[in-house]
Formats: sequence, C-alpha cells, structure tokens
Amino acid sequence: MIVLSNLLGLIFLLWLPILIGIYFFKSIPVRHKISSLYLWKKVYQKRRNRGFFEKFKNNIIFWLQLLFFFLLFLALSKPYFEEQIGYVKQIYIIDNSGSMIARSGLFETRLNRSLELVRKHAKVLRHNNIEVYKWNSTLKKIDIGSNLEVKLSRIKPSHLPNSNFFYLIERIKDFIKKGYKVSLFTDALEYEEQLNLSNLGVEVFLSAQNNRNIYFESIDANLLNDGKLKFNIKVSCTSFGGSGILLISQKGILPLRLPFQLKDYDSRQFDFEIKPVSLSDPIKFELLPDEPDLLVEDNLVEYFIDSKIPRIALLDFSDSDLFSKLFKDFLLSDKRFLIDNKQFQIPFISVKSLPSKPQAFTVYVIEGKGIQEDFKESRSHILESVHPLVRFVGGSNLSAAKNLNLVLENSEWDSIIQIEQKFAKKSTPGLLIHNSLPVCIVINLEFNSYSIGNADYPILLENILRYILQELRMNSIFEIGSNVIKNQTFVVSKKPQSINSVEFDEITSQGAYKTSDGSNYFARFPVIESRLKDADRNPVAVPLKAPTIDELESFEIAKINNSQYTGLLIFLAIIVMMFEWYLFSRRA
Amino acid sequence: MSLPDLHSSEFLKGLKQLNLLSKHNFAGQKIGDRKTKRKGASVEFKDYKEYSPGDDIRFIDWNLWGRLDRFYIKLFYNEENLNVHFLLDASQSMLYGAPSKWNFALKFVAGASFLALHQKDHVNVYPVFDKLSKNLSEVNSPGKYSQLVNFLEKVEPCGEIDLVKSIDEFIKLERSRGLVFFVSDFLTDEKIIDHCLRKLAYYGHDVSLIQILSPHEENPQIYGNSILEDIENKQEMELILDDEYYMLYHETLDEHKRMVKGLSKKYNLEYSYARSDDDFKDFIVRLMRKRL
Repeated sequence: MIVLSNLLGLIFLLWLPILIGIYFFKSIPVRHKISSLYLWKKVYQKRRNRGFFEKFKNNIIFWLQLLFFFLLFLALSKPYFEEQIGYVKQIYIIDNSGSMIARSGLFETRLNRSLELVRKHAKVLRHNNIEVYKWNSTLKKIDIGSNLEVKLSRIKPSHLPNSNFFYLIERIKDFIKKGYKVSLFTDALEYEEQLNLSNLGVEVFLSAQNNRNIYFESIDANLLNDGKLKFNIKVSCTSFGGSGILLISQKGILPLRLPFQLKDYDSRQFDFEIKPVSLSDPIKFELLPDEPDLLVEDNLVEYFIDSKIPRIALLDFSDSDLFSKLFKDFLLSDKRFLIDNKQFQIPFISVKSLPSKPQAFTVYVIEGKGIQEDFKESRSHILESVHPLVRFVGGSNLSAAKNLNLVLENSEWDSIIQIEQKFAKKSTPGLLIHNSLPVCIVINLEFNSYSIGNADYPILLENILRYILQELRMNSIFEIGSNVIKNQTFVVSKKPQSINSVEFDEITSQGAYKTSDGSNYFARFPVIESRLKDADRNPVAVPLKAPTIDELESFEIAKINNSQYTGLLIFLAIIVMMFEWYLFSRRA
Repeated sequence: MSLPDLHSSEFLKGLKQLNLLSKHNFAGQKIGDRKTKRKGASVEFKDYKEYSPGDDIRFIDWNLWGRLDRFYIKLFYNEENLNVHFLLDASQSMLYGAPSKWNFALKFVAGASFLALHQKDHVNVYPVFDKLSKNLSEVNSPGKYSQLVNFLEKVEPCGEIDLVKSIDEFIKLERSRGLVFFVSDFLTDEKIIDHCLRKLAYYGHDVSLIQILSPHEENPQIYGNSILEDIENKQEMELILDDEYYMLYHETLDEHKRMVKGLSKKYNLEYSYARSDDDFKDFIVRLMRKRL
C-alpha cells in the first residue's frame, strides 16, 4: 500500500484536468498531399534559423571566439574549487596558558603563532559565526566584539597553567552535541589526549616543536672505589642542533644540563658521577631536547656582545644583607653590572609591611611569622605581560601581600613578584637567613620612561629572578603547575644522601612538573610545559582528521600553484585564435 | 487521370504554322528540311570550288567559264533532319495540381513533337522514372504522330525520379547531338540539377529546360495545423502553417526558380517556366519566339 508522507504533493494533481483539456481541445492536423516536401523542408529550416539561438548554432567562428575568451578567462582568473564545510558554527579554543609564551619560532611566541593559525583557518573556512574560547586554568568564552580580530585581540598571554584535560574534553563534547565544529590551538598534547580529540573530530593545531632531535648514542658505566658510578654518555643529534637536559631518575629526578651545544648530525660525549641511592631501583636516563626558543636564558650572551648596551652600576653593595646574599654571585658574574658605580642602584629594604607608595627600583624583603598559604590564590599573580622579556609567575600565594594590607588595584605597585619558600627544617643552605620562617621578597617593578626605553631593565629583572630561582633550585626541586597533586609530590635534594632529611609540607609553584606516571620533572624558568609532557616524549604523531598547519599552508601554496596552468591556457587560446583566423580567411 | 485529347484537330490547330528552331546546326541522320554545315544537294548556294578531275561536271558553272575561261564547281548546302529529344519527368509529383503538371507536359511534348515531325525531324521521347525508360524508335515523319501520342498516353507517372542516373544513361544512349527539351518541375536539390545540366551542356546538346509548376505549388492553400505528405516518397511533416510560413514559402520558391534559371544561364542553356494552367500553345509560341 502506498502511503503518502506529505499530502501537499496532491496539489499538483489538480493540474490533470487542465492538462487533459488542453490535449482534448487541441486541433487535429489536416493531412495534405503535396508534390514534394523539398521546398517545405527548406522553409522549415529557414524559420528555425531565424530563431534567436539558431543564429549561433552553426557558427563555428562564434563558438571559437567564445572558447578563446573562456580560455583567457581561465588563464587570468585562476579559479579553484573551494570546499564548503557544512558546520553552522565554529568554535576556536585557544590555549593561552603560561607555556604558550615560549617562543617556537624566531620571532613569535606559541600564542602568536596559534593566533595566526586561527586567522588562516577562519579565512579558509569563511564561517560567519565564530566563537572564541581561551583555555588556561578555565575555559572562558570571549564575548567581547563580533569581529574575530577583536576577539583574538582579547587573548593575552597568561602565566596560568591549563585546566584538567578531561574537563576540556567534556566541554568539547557539549559543543559538538550542539552542532559546533571545534578547533583547538595549543602547544603540545599527550598522545592519549590527541587520540581523544581526534576521535571527537576536533581539529588540533600544535604550535610547539615536538620533534625529539637528541638521543642517546651510548651509555657506559664504571663502578668507582668510593661506591659511585661513573657514566660516560654519548649524545647525538639529528637536525636543528641544539642542547638539552639530561634527566637522571633515581627515586627522584636530577636534572643535568648538557655541557655542550650540538650541531646538526653531531655527536658528543661527557662523563659524570652519581652515587646510587638504591641497588634495587634502576637508574633511568632521559634526554629532553631544547626547543629553538628565544628565551633570554638561551640567548643572554647576545646581549653582552653589543657594546652599546649601557652597563648598570649597583651602589651600597654590602655583603651583609640579604640582597647581597641573593645577588652577589650573579651580579659579579654578570659583566653588565658595575659594582659601586653611582649610575644606578637597586636599594634593598627589609620591611615588616609594604608601603603603599613604593620607591622605584627598590627591593623590599618581608620577613615574618604566621603567614598562611592559600593554594587557590597561588596563580593570581600577574607580572607585567606587556614586556616580552619579563615573564614570571609568582610564588605559591599572595597571603603575605594580603596580610600586609596591600590592595593592588589602588596602590602604586605595578606588580608584585612574590617568591615564597617555606622550610620545615633548619640548615638549608643558601639564601635564607631565617630558615624556619617564610620569606617573602617583593620587588617593585615600576616602569617609567627610562625603564621602558632601557632594554637592560627587563633583562636585569629576569636575571635577578632567574638567579633567585637558581639559588632555590640548587637546594631543592619544586613542583609547579595544575597537575601537581598536593602532598603527593616528591621533592628531593640535589644531594642524594639528603633525600630523607628534607621535607616539605606544602607545594610551591615553580620548579618541576609532575606527570601522569608519578615522576617529577624539572622545569627551567620560564616553565616550558610542553617539554615536560608526554607529547614530547612520544614522537609518534596521532593522525588528525582535520587539516594541520602544514595543510593550511599547502592550501595557500596550491592556490598559488594554479598559475602553472596559465601558460598552457594562454597557449591553447592562441591555437584557437589561429584556427579561427584560418577559418575566417577561408570564408573570405 | 484524365489526359488531353492530343489527336484532336483543335489541339493541333495552329501548330503547323510554327517552326521548331535550333540554335545550332546539328548534323542529322537523314535528309530533312534543315540546312546544315555540310555540303549537299539542296538548292541553296554555298560556295564555288575550282574544278578538279572527278568532280560532277553537272555542277560546273558555265557562265563563269565563259567569262573567266576556267572551270568552277558550284557547291550547295546539305539539308538534313534534326534530332529532337524530350526528357520527360515521369515522377509521381508530375500528377500534382489541377490541371496537373503531367497534363501540361504531355501537351507540350505532343505539340512540340508535332512541329518537329512536320519538319521531318527525328523525335525521341524519354520518360524519366528512377531510370531512363525505353524510347519510342523511328519517329521521324508526321505520319508517326499518332504512334507517338499513343506512346505518351501509355506512360504512367509513378515513384521518384533519379535524375543523375537518367541523364547519365541518356548521354550514353544518345551520341547524336540535337535539341533536348528537359521537362520537369525541378523540385530537387541544386547539386543534382547542376550535375545534370553540366553533363547535357558538355555533350553539346541544345538544351531547353521547361519547368512546370502547378498553381497549387505556386500558391498552396493550406493553413493551420497540417500534415504535409510527399506523394512521391510518402514522407510526412507536421507544421502549423501561418502567414510567416507562407511568406517564407514564396521566398523559397522564388529562390528555387532563380536557382534553376541561374544554372541554365551558367551552362548557356535555355530556361522557360510554365504553370500547368497556362495555355500550352501560347507557351510554345513564347518558346519559339525565344528561339528565333
């Protein structure tokens, strides 16, 4: 039985009687015998030829001219087919966590590179309705502005780590259920994460270099008389050259920077000694290659080469105060600093509370008891992000500043860098005077015309901070980032024998990263998260469904390559034109 | 099919006063009434010739001998008959019209033959079907007129003609040149007509084209939704005929007539056009005047 799913079609049956009527009243042709159809056929042909389109029918020159111009049109306009994607809405999720500040190219940060990719992507897809989300510790929609460029301009680099990945996955699933197409722009992802996203049909664009170009050539060990192991490690490099960090895992992690730079397809070897902590546990080695970043740490030497850079003098430099203890070695080793020169100074003031109107270029050191940590607020610090060379996330909390009645918004403090370290045990060597007390160092970074114009100022500041961290790192390894599990993090001393003697009751926010398998990894400053993630350790890439960066670029190349047909089409057009002239001359 | 009475005295009345002329002096097969280029025994003086032994002394001009004291022979034109050929289109389409084209064609052939026979010319009539039909032989005196008419009356037009094949056969058959009357409606393709006329002209015939169309062909009274059926090949064509069609038809017919005439001129042939309702005697008079 035929069932009509829609009765509207029956409307067309109403035409039936009209149609039958037309045929019913149609006149019946009268048959006439004639002597010959010869003349009538000619007449019929003439009448047909008088029709508008019949004039073109047998005119080969006309068609050749059309072909000629069409070929020229093709040659000059270079048309190409554009794939239309059927999604109604497009969502771009852009990672602006702290790791995105790292530079992957010569002049770009990963974030800038991602933003550029978003622009390219949007240009290719031409979606009218595009929503932009930024992803760091939370996933937040950019509501300001209807224009994509305006939205992208709102995405600034942050120091914040990324939120839990599974939270992101759940949000993405919600988007997809609502019919959105999702593209994620981040620096690096773990293998499983890429797999999950790929299964959901999410486009992933990675802006960090994820090629591991440094590997072990050989590892030889000799047992020395004092019970230590002497290792001889040969490291090789494929392309791009560079250096890296050797991670030695033995209950904890010991990072060791490779003492050389590798050139392309280079091999170098070096020795080091280590005393095994446990005979039962194996010692693991791992190489983390450097990215070709333009971090100051990697390229600081370049600044010294330029003799035009003014030197900075420090006055009132005394060995007795804390600042001296902090910066003495650093400042002495840094050729830019002229000790006891009156041109420039950074006063160091030990205070109980911060003044609301701080002096410029002054370091305030706060010492005191009973300051409680607030872990949740530990990521609320913001250092001035405008200047590309100054990147730093503050200490584990802001409680010290809060207890000092400091209201950031209303004060003249441009920013606060808070470095906090709390030890439970005495006799920690190094920078701290009062070992049992928390120490808060606050540096006023007031920017003025001088500081902005002086390229050395942020370098100086960064070096100060780096030095502080380095000092701290010499004694311990710190956990950072959102994936750090409180109270489950290993913190080990540089010296293996003192592992059990150092205990930490809280986690600090800088220094190392905890991975899913429970091991900790050291992080340099500034933190390069991607280097520490599994994505970098698993060079096997997940095949993504969506176009990758290279494909987007190749699309542009393909459009340009259309021009290779231009010559051929023009050649064909000329052939057609010559044939046309030949026909024309014959007719003439 | 009602045929005209070609034996009646009314039909033949006045024809005797006409002469069938040819533009060329063709050599005939027998003695006739027409002067030829050849020397012969007619009474018409042609030239003198110095006597040489063996010449007939009856033709010596004695008056000239008296004055010049030399013998000269008088020469005379020879008089022979003329071959008159009729190529008669006997396709089915010739039966079309009222009166039919065939009717007019028969009258013309009979009338022209009558003239030729009275001038002791040799008449050949070739009905043209899909091939050349058998000719009536030995018709060369007025006494054979009734035999010719009987032959014509027995010809029944049918089917289509193959002009090319028929003309080729005619050329092979008739080696003796003469006057050719090609009677047809010529409603066929230009290339075919061109081919036929070129061949006839090449073999030196004095060709006269007689194109006959019926009044219905000149002015067809057919309007509206019509199926036109070709009576020769039974092909059909459905048209809704309106004024524009008629305008185009007249235009095409004129072009066609001009085309036939143009081809005749091209090969230096004579072209005459007749409608089937024309008076055939007037037409013959018109034709004879043309040939003077």
